Amino acid sequence: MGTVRILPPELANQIAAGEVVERPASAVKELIENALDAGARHCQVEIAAGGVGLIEVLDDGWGMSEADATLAVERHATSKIASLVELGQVRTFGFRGEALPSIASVSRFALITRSRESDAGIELTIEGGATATTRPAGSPVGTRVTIRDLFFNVPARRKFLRSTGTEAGHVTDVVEAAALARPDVSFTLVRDGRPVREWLSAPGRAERVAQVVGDGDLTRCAGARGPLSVEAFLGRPETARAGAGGLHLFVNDRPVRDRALALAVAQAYGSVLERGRYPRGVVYLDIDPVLVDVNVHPQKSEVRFADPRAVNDALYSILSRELSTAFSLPPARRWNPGKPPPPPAPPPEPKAEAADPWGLGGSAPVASAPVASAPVAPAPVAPAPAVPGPAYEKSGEPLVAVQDSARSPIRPSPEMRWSNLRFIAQVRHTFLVCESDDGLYVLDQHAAAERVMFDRLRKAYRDSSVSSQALLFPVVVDVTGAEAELVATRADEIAAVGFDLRVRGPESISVHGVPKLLQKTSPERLVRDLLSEVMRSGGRGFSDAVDLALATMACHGSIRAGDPLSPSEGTALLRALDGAEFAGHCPHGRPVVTFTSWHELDRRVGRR
Amino acid sequence: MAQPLRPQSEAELVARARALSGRRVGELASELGQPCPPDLRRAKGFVGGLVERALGADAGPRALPDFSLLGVELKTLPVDARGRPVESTFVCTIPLTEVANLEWEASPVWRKLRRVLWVVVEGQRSLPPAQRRIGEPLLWSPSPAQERALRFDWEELAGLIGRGDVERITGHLGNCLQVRPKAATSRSRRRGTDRDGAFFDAMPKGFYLRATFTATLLAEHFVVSAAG
Repeated sequence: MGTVRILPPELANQIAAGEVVERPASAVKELIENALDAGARHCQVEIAAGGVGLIEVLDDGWGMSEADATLAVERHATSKIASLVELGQVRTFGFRGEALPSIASVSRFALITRSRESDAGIELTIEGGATATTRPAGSPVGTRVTIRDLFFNVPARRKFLRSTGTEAGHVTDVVEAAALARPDVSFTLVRDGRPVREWLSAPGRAERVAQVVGDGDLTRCAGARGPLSVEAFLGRPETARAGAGGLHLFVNDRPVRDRALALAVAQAYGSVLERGRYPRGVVYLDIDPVLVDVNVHPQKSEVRFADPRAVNDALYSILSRELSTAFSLPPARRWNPGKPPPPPAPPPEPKAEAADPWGLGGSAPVASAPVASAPVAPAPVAPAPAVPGPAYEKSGEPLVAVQDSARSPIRPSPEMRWSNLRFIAQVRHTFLVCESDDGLYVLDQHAAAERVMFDRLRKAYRDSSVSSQALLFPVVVDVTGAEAELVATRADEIAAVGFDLRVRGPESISVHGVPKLLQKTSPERLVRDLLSEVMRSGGRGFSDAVDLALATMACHGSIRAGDPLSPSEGTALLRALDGAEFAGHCPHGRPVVTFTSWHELDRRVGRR
Repeated sequence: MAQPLRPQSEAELVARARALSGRRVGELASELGQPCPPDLRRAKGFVGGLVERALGADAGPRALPDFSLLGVELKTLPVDARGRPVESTFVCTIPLTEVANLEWEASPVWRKLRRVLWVVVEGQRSLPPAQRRIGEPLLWSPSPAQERALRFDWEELAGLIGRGDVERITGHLGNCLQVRPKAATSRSRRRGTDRDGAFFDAMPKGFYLRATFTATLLAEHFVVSAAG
């Protein structure tokens, strides 16, 4: 070991580059953020060979003067913050002053820029972190950064890169995230000379989400609580994925990775999402910058909230309230993309909420509306033609499109109630066929009954009003020692679910009462459902486990496929669905109903 | 297990009864030091007496509620595998010469039924008495509708007896209550009055709750299908 010395700048930059520039996509992210911070209205990204051969980011922002450009490639040189106070409330994407020197230290770097005030631009080149050379250059106002041969001087780093396609995919993700963050900016992505994405500036987040995520199957939820405003565009439960990869999270327009936030979003779906599955969609959190620290990670992909639990609670509260009715019956009318939904309320001043900044008394939801699909250039898809739904013509609101296939989104509609459907028949002792003025609805009777049962059970549980029904004779159930212990120690909580369980021995309990709503189900089965779910939950809250247990018990205690239903029973089930949350899905996330419009039926048989 | 002292409150009584739930008649008899008969046809009332002892009933043969301090009557109710009562439930013997002057509120039927601790017991004939399980208790008072129905039957039946028509009463009369012979042997007699007010020797009779009434009562309070 030698003597202690200050590292030469080139080496220090390379080390910093190891943190900031992990792969081509990292460099693209830093350059796009610079473009956005420079007020760009259009940003073009071009890559070749997955970004290893070439990255070029061109923006029409306000550019830099020669002096600023020269300073910009020095470490810790930035125009974005000037004091510790400003760091505490940073609103720009970048602020560390590390990106450009880091990138320049591991690539052949060229920057051409011209500010509005300058008559001529300047070109600055650096190779592998060496001293910059500058010369005048013709340039429009804005900045063009060209990076060639990324990591040419760090061969070890190149070994860790994935295939060209994978790296290009990462770059696409970064550009998509930037596009979602800033709908007011146009983005173009060119890959190996071919434009592969283009998003023209959009009037709002909803339109941009429709452009980027695209399949028109997301529902908008919005609300505010304390200093937090949330605007989310979320997919139906059945489109959820095993990881949070399809869920884009933004904090003050900054794309972030945050497991707790993603989990809060997933939990807002209640039991319709299996544990470990996350919805597709985009969630924007707007919060006073003072309450969030973005200086956590060199790539700024993580943030730290002053009160993370309050943020998670508020997010869960806002979304769960909105989502509970969001995925219900297919309506005939869709949200008109020409009329943007109201923007989320701006975050109120924290001072005004000093006594209860998070509004624990309740959230203030703004609105929910489905997001219509929009074309994604360069392969635009025309929106569905407008077909008026006769039942809704009276309202005078614009009628845009009737959903026309089995893939129709399941959406809320205050005018359209389950009980308004006309029950036609039960088929195969499994499906309830119903009609409305818009089309044909086929309900899965078990899923529908399960949803209704679960909803009643959960409401009763939350209101601490679960009625218990005594068994004439107790049922003895053999359990594990741990389960018997659980029954002994959590007697009150178990009683709140409607069970009267007593320990008979080290591995034996007796069931003396069951929830009244489930009295037709085998008591042993119900108890096993409860105990296994609570045991499986480990250290989690009892009430969380109960939700899952209630879902399983509702499944076991509801009308099943194969049970004959009379017309009056079918109609009663439709009426019961009116009051249920998440009525479009069973507690395990399976859809309750499929819808085919008369228009679609006409089309299929060649009448149109 | 020694016979406990009489319970001091309804809650104590119910707690004791709940503790019996799921236990077998033979097991309880053994704890109380009573041999369990192999056949209940020749030992009617054995299970009822056993449960009375286990719960601390104090009335004995007196015409008082079984738990005199609490005013609670104990009724064991044998049920079949589907949880339906297998027989009607004896309420009280009929004071044939006094019934004409009794109002419902002062009647022995109302005094016995206004507060009842029902204890179901497995009653399938195929089960040896010792193997039969004791079920969940139910502390019950008639609902207003049930009381109205009981009162109606009482007034109908007591009216017939009071008018001297006791010999015309059959088990078919009454919706909830019925009158049936209640005698140790066919030669047992009680004094009754005929239509002219003259005394005569009549077969002793008792008021019984019909099995349909107790079945409805169980269905209201229990998951009946779980029996057996």
